[in-house]
Formats: sequence, C-alpha cells, structure tokens
Amino acid sequence: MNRPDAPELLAAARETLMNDVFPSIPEHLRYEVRMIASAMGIAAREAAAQSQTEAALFSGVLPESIADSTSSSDDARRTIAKAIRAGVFDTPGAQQERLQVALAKTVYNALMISNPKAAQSSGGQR
Amino acid sequence: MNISQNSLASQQDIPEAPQGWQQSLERYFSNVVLNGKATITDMKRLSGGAIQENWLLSVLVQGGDSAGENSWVLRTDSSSVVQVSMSRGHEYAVLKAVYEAGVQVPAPLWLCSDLDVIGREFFVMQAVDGTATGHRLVKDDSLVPDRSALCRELGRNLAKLHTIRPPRESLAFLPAPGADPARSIIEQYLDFLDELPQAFPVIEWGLRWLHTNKPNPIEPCLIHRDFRTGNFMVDQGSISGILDWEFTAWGDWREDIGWLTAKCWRFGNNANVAGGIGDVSDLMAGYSDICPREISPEELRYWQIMAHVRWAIIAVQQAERHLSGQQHSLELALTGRLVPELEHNILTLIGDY
Repeated sequence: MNRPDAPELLAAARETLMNDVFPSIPEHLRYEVRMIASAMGIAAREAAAQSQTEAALFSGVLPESIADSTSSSDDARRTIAKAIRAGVFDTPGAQQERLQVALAKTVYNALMISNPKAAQSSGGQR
Repeated sequence: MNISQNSLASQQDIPEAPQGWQQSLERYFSNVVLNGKATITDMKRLSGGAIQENWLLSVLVQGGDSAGENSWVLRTDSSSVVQVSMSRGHEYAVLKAVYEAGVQVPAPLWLCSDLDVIGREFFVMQAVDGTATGHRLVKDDSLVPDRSALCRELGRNLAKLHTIRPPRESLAFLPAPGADPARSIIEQYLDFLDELPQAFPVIEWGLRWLHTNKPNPIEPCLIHRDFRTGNFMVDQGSISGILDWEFTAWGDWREDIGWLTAKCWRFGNNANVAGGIGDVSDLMAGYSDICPREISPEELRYWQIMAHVRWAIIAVQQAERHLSGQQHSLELALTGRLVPELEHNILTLIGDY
C-alpha cells in the first residue's frame, strides 16, 4: 500500500504550486500555471472517486445487452449509444425515463470530478 | 475548429514579426494606398487565435488618400497550423459581403493573395477599439452601461447578416445551402461521433432528440455560426466590430440565436440569456427593427440544445487532437473536461434532468 496515496500527493503538490510557486510566476505564464493546477485538481478528484461504474448504471437500462459485472464502461457506452441511434428510446415511457436517469447519473459523476461547482448547482442527480 | 472559451495562445509570449515582413509590407502598402508612401511604425501580434494570426499595424502614410497615421489589422493563417476552416481570401469575401449589408465589422481594406509579400495569403482591415473579453463584458457595467441597448444592437446586426440570401456570386465558394440545414448538421455530427474512439451517449441522446424534434426547414440565409460574446468588440457600450467570420455558412437563422443565447456562452451570467449581456426580448426587438421575426421558446430551446451539442462535439474533438498526438496541449486536454457540463446542459434542456 502506497502512502500518501495519489489524491493526497496531488493535493500537496497543487498547494505548493499555488501558494509558493505561483507568486513568482511571470504574468505571461500564469494562465498556464492555473491550467496545471486545474488539471491536478481534476486528477486528484478522479483518483479519489468511487462512483458506480457506467456499466452498472447502463445495465439497468438495457439489462439484456449490458452485464453489470462483465461489461467494460467503454462497451456499455457504445451499446447505449447504438440503441439511442436505433431509436430504442424514442417513445416516452418507463424505458426512456430509465435512460435519462442513467445518463444524468453518469453526467453527475463526471461533473463531480471535472467541475464539482457545476455538479452542486445541478441539484444532485436530478 | 477554433472555438474555445479560453483563447488559445492568449497568454503566450508574443512573438516578433517574422524577418522581412516590415520591408515587404511597406512596399505592398505603398502600392495599394494610391499615391502614398507607407512606413510601418509599430507592429504587434494580437492575443487569441491559434489558427489565425492577427497583427496590429501602425502605418504612417505620406500623401494620397490614406495620408496620416493608420491603425490596421493584418489577418493571416498561423504558420504552424493546417487549414481547417475557410481560406483568408474567402473570409475576406464574407467580410466584404456583410460589410456591404451594413453589419458592423472592421472595414475590409485589401486582400493579398500574392505569396511573395509575406509568404502567406492575408487581408487587411481597419483596427477597431474596445474589448471582446467575455467574462468582463458580462459583469462590468462600466463597459456596458446600457445592456438593453447593446442587445438591440446585437439583434440588428444579426438581422442585417440574415438578410443576405443565396445565391451570391461573391460567396460561390460556400457549400450550397442544403434543403434542410438542421438535418444536414445532425448527420454531420453523427459522422463526427463515428470517427471517435469512444461513444458519447449523452451527445448521442441530444442528437436523437434534435432528430425527432426537428423543425420544418425555412428559407436559408447567411449565418455567422460563431456569433457569441467574445467574438464582438464593444467600445463605449456599443458594438465596434463583429469578428471571426471563418465559420460563416448558409443555414437557419435561428442557429445563430441559439448559439448566442446558449448557457455555455453566458460566461457565468446565466440570468442574462442573450450571451450573458442582457435579455432575449431586447435582442429580438433589435432584430425586428430590421426584419420582423419572432423566435418561440420552443424554437429557442431547440437551437440551444443544438448549440450545446455542437460545442460538446468540438470539445471532444479538441481533446482528441491532444490524445492522438496531433497537437500536444494541456489546454486542449482540459477542453475535454468541459464536456460533462455541456452534457448536463443538454439533459436539462431536453427533460429537466
């Protein structure tokens, strides 16, 4: 077991960058340093995240083609995307509702990593 | 496509003008200004734009029609980037067409396709004062003392642009307008998605919704396709010039309204639906001064969803440019992380999710 773990290391590195290094960075490179800090924050949150996998979320929408335990998230996304394009969810109803709830959850999970402020203003999962 | 919330290359070191430009440009200007002799007294690269370079030139002309101190902007392709949008010659033709239609743009002056001058095609336009910085324009009331007046002005400019109808001989290089612009766009975006190594179910759902809710096509007109806060200069509270005409195409006028009013271009000032600047009602009041038209809440919603889908696809493509090794860039990589917010906007607009 590696201690401190990845999120802790990234958080400490980010803090040093912004508190100790940033003030001496010349004006024309500050934008770059802010981008670096932002990337480190995203990576730290992603390393700490323990959200439900997309395969698990999408298996509830198309249980016959996506298995919770065996499908990769990439495969699950491809299967869902294909079904959307084929018109499987065109009719309003329970199936469409399940799709939209699952999509909203994947977006919420991604936002919690990439832009937690926007996730909070989205009012949770709905 | 160079559509980014962050201006690419904005904060980099501003490079010096390439060697030899000054002399050859002075010769060129002395030729085109009729009976004058031109001397370049200053030359600096303007921020923004990784695909195009904009150079602000101070040119002293002795004699002739342009005698005196002139402030001109030279626009040319960046030396490092491959052609992804229209050529400078085509953009110049667009600029002339919209200038003649009364749209507030920097006056186009000359196009030079002779590669002997600076090695690339370029055009020259009048420099305009003011700022285009989105996050300042949406918040700083000293820059925009009368928000409703600025919105009406934006509306009038859009309406004047939209009065240009096909066919136009000077714009014959633009792809001919399709019978159903929304449908062509949706098909094009599905093709873009198919070129990516991963699937994007939310974007796919957005496109499906756009497909099943597609409005009937209406008469096409010239549209800007990147008409948004950040792409118009504001000086003393009013428009001094609308910029970046490289994505102009024949299309549905409502696409421009959807793009300008989409949440992703309000720079955080969400209450001001028209680009973070002000109200849609003022925008459309100005529009109707020139061309009496309305946009219903349903139409607005449709074209705002289209806007977010488009931006999400561009963001994915930009991240892909980094991932594929085509252009290694932290900024492009981070652009990929804008996608969830755009997807969230798509779901919210479709069904309040």
